[in-house]
Amino acid sequence: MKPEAEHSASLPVAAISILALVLGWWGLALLNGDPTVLPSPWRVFPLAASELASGELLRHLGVTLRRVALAFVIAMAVGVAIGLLMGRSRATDRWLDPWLIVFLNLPALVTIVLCYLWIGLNEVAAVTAVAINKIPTVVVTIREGTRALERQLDDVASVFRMSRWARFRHIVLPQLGPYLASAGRSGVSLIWKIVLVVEFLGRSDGIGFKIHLYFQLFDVGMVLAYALSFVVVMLAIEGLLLRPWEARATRWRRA
Amino acid sequence: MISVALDNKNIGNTPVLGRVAFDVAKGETLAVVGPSGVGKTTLLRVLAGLDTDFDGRVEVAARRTMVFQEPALLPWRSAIQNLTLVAGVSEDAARTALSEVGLLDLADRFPGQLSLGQQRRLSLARAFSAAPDVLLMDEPFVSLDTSLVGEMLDLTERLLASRAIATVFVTHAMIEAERLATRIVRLVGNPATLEDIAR
Repeated sequence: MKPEAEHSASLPVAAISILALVLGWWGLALLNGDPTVLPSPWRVFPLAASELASGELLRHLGVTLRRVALAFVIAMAVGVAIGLLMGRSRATDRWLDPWLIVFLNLPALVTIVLCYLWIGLNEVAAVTAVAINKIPTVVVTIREGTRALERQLDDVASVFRMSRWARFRHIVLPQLGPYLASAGRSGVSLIWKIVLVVEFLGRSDGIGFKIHLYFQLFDVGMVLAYALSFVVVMLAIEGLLLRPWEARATRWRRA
Repeated sequence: MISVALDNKNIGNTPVLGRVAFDVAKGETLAVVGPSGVGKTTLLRVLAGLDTDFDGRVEVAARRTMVFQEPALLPWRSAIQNLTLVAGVSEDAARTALSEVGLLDLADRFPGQLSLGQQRRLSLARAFSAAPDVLLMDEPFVSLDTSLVGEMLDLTERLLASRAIATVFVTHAMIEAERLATRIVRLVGNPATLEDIAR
């Protein structure tokens, strides 16, 4: 069976599994009996709908998505550049590896707080903090991919005098494809979680800010409404953007 | 086209090639034979400009291409793109080169969809499509069965005959050397040097 066919065949299963999750949640809410602690799905969905209708949800969603996108682009660009450098040059790898280990083990909270303290309570600090958290994991993945590059194809490129750009575009990038896809997918899921923390701690808009607000009001229903809306959007981005791109980039493998 | 006066070539601290001197003119094909591990591929890498760490003088025309031991194609690009993107030739030139090796109908296939023999022919087409002054071939028929080797030899002979290329062809099979070469030398010893083989 072709992967696309497999993918579409798994859709009904995924739908049933999600439905089971919602029903389980409903069951727990019934058992608990206190809607201020755990409101049922039928209370949370209308809340999300009314926030959507009022425009509040979209405004904060937009702000958060912009931060996610900016941090993602910066983290991928910087991470890929450093990863390529470390994968290609042993000397660079030896020098930068200890730094990499330090940054990999730096708690997200520490980077966020330090960025706010040093840069100020602003957008630059927020996006920088998120990017710094993500860059080291991109570097690790891309370094791995660079080390696995086929040497013979480098020779081919040299003998045929391919330009630097052509080499990167047609020889390096296709080989890094699976590594980029994996760094990208894990990147998006890590980044949006950190963005919410950044907003929680020091921004006056975005999903994280709204969750902070309703946390202070002990409004579990609204916390869930905002959190779930955002999860849905992120799942849609993964399914509609990342997966199709990955399928296209690896088409030659299935041909 | 090719003028070589190598004093020595080491890999690490191990001397691989000693004094090696030869010239190859336009239209000539020099076959280098010798046991495996003697340094034939090293010599070819020096000629290709892939290895520049040697003592001596090596002059090779700038327009050079190479046929590698393995087909060394880009599996993620179609057959025709393997010519246009790697050899940097126009689509028309690529089609001409493909038809010369009988692969025109398969231009849009990925290399993984071609048989090993077809991949070798594509690799050959790539090297010839760039209209090189110098062609380097590193055991291009290794691991093919006998009938396929014969077919490849015919094809290569035909392609070379219609052009004026200076070719250096490395092989361990004397039969292949005798078919294609205008001159045969043997690489022997440690560090290796050349000895002429009378024809």
